[in-house]
Amino acid sequence: MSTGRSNARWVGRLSTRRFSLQRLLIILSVIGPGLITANADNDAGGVTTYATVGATFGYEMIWGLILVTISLIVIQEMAARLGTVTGRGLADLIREEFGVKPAFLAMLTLLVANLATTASEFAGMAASLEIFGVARWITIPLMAIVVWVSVTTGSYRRLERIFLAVSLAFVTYIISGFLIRPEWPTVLRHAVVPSFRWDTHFLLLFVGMVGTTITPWMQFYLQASVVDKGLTAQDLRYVRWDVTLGSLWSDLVAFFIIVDTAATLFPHGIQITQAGDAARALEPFAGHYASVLFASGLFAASFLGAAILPLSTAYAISEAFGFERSVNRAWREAPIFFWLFTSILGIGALLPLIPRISLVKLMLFAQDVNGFLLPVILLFMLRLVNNHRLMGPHTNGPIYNLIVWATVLMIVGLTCALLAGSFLPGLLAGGK
Amino acid sequence: MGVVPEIHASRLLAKTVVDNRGRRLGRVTEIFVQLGKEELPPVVALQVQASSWLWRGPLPFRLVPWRCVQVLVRQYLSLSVGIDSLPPVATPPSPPPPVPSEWLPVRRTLFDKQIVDLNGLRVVRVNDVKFTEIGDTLRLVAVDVGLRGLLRRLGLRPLVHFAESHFGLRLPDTLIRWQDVQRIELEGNGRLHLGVPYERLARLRPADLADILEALHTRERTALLGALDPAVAAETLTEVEPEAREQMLARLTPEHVLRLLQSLSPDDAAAILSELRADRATALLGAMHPEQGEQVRALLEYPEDTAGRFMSTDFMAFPRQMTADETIATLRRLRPPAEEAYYLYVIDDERHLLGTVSLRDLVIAPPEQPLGEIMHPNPVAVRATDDRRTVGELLAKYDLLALPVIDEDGRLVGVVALSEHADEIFRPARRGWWRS
Repeated sequence: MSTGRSNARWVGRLSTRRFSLQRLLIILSVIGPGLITANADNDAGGVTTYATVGATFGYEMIWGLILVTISLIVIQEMAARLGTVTGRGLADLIREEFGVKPAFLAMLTLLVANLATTASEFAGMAASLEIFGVARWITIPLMAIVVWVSVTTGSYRRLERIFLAVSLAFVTYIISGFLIRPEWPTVLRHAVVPSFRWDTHFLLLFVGMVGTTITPWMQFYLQASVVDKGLTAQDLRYVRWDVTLGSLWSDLVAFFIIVDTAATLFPHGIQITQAGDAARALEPFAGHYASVLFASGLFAASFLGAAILPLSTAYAISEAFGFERSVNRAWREAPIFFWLFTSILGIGALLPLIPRISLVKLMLFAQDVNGFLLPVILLFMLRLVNNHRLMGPHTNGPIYNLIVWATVLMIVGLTCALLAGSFLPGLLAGGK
Repeated sequence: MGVVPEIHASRLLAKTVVDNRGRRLGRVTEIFVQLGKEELPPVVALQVQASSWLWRGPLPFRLVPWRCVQVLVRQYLSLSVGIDSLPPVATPPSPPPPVPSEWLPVRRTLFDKQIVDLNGLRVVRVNDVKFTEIGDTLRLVAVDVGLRGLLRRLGLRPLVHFAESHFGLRLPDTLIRWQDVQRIELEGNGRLHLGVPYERLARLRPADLADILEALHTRERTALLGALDPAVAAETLTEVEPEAREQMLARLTPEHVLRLLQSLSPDDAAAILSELRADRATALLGAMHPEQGEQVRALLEYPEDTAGRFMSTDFMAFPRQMTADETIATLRRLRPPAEEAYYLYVIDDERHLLGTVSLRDLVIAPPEQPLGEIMHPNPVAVRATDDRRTVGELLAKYDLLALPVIDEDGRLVGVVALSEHADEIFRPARRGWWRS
């Protein structure tokens, strides 16, 4: 038996720590899901979209990004709140509260949006290696196999940390932003005064910007990670910090990508046709290494996305329909989960291999798909979060509802305008 | 002869109800079965709600006793009575007509919900419910949890037929007998619904219960764990994956956790405490029974993954002067469990480990011989600070069932038994690969 003296030491060590660090311990144990999810915002599609926004329209869309940031914070908080209060995943809640058919609709929406996003992640990997002259028909099949093997064998966990670190390369856009010396008064004016153009290109890019910032899959992913962490309504205060800080951070990076490209590419009329074009905005900071820095960041972020998206899609669909999920089980025990994961990965990898397709356009298109489909998921979330039986005192307040409804109506409105424009060619100013 | 030999709830719910003169009452929106009296619950009533394409708000509904249902023709259920002889209509928000407490609403409590399959010991989601006519009454016989039921609910029955007749595909019809269905139903306050019997679930082995708990939702998990007998609950808790355990402990009240910890052996309690946040662990340690708290603290002194952390502190040690006869008499009196009696340990006055004695040695020895002469000296032992790899290697190398654990001065402090600590010794990397 141990002696009493050493016991006292053990307890003493804990209790002295408690007073100074207890609060921090609680915060650290809660923080994470929001930050990680928001960080995934700046994936291949995200960076390409923001860079295109800056290069094509200068500072004009910055006000939009600021509005989108507000809805992002509100919507992410809503997803996290649903998770902490109900202790269930989003797919699960949709199935239990609305039944099979609405769950099928929600899952179909998620599947289509995530297939597009997976394709955009593979396009991102291909585009980043094209900067070094590696052909896409080598990159994509090879990376599809690497992603599949690393996930199925479990070695993904180790890779994840490395790639997460590398994907921080995009932070250099912030440094670049100060070195470039953009016209801050102009930036500020565009941040406050909305400018809008009724042409197809502007509208599509705007929807894409919304769709890449607030994606359907993030809602499922965030809620699942909150539930997995075992967070409860008591942790809500900290969860809110986590989600808010995460959203602000990710959109700060997005803001600087737009500002940098607007300051460097827009005045010279340089369009983003290849991923490498977006790297030019980093030159003031990284000089000749700009493209290397950009390519590695893009590659890492895309790799993470290419693994997480098929996984979280397969997970949500299995959750909704009660298929065995492979949490710790062998693949043999969860065949449907396995095939869902494999086919989403496979189809996602095949799309960017379509001959002569523009990788940048594919990435932008994927964000539009996400934007168009987002309202479906948001409406489900709204119904759930305003359900008193489920949420008790934690239902949405009127301002939250207003913001989410405004987001939904804005996307629906833009979608209708785009549809009308494609049927009545004269309605919107065409193309570029 | 009844109305229909067998039918799925999803089909019954789609029917339009008409009375004996062909007047429409509305559609079936709920099916009630009567629990309790019989093993397979009979259908007792339908809830029929007026339907309208235009108006989606609250619509009047009424209860139709199943005995009034006469025949099922295509989309229609026709009644043997007139609309006037049925119980009166209720319109929300006026409360629905009271329903006896043993009536189970099939759609609300089973459809799309998770249930435990007591036979297959897994958690599944209900896609459909199957009724079969037995002895003139339609009874709930099984719940459908397979792909077929799912497609039927989606209205894709023709697709299933097509796939089966043209491609010879055979979709499994995964049914779970009603007798093997365990509902997990929560009330508003997060407690388990009292109307549901849980005896069979409570009789499962802790390891099986642990698998089931892991598959349930967080709230159901916690509620179920809370409803189990504390000893069973505690044992189950030690079998659950660390992530799921963390979630459950976070949602239980400190008093509850304390009660569970106190019915555990010190090594299991220490394992659970070490996963908790430091402030919670300290509070719980302080509130524990002083003697048990002391033992747990002693174990927590050792670094993680060392023998001292997971060793068991209940073991059989005897002084070397004790005779074989006295030892056997003591064992008879103490009746130690099997895993504590693989080997008996011989110690001196200062608890230094001197040797081991097996039960066989003890039985064949002359009654008056002291243990000091029977024992095998120089026993194989591990240091409390040795890691689990060393423990495994020693057990394998010397073909032992248990190893004594000694401190730096050679004093016996615990025992690691293969049968009890296999988990800790050979634990693989058990984290889910899909988690980030």
